[in-house]
Amino acid sequence: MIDYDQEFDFETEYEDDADVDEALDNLIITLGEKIVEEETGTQVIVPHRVQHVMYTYKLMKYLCKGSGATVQYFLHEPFTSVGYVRVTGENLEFGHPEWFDRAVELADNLDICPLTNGKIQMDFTFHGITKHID
Amino acid sequence: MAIKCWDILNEVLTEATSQFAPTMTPNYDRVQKVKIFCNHVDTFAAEMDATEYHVNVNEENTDITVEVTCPLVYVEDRGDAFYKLARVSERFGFKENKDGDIVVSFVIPGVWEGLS
Repeated sequence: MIDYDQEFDFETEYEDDADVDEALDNLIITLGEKIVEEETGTQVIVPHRVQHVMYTYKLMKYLCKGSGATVQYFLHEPFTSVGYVRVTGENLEFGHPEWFDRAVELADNLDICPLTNGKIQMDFTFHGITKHID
Repeated sequence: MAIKCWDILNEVLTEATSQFAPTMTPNYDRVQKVKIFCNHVDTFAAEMDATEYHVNVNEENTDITVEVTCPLVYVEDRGDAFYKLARVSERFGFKENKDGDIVVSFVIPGVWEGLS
């Protein structure tokens, strides 16, 4: 586990721009190394976690029926162990709040942002869809 | 946001109550639930850096719609106000306004009941 305070020395009062640049470079390099470490090695699918993704996908597909919204799911993106369900539409409206609530509960997080084309994008992110076997 | 949801909603409810009188009157218990709902809206607004509230009462079915405008919505924890709002709403939705912000709308049942 990374001790972020120690690693990136957040308490430092930077003397000049070069100090800030160096700190940011170190941050990127360390995070990159961490990701490479996570991505290498043999991993196996965690079936019940993938089912969470599929359940949320099907549920959102049903809740968005007739609304013109697009519902997609992605596995192993942007990293091997991550998947997400994406809902895109102009005016997203949901009944059955308890079902929506269930989908949010299964996901690790939900973020909703506006797009430049006037649509709304909603991402349900799922971590842990694979695990290392070593 | 210094303005509280209940401050706005209370004004709208008062106006709507005068419109619905004398056939309908507010139910005290339902008004109390709406007050709690408003507290969650304020928490949600603070969490999302909301910039605007808009409250509307549907004159036909008396449903109350509360719209909260914010730049982004991010939900991570089951304790987040969004969960509480979603759970008590009849329905809710998201759309983009002309400034590129997200308008989150929560629809709850009205507080009025017919006089018998």
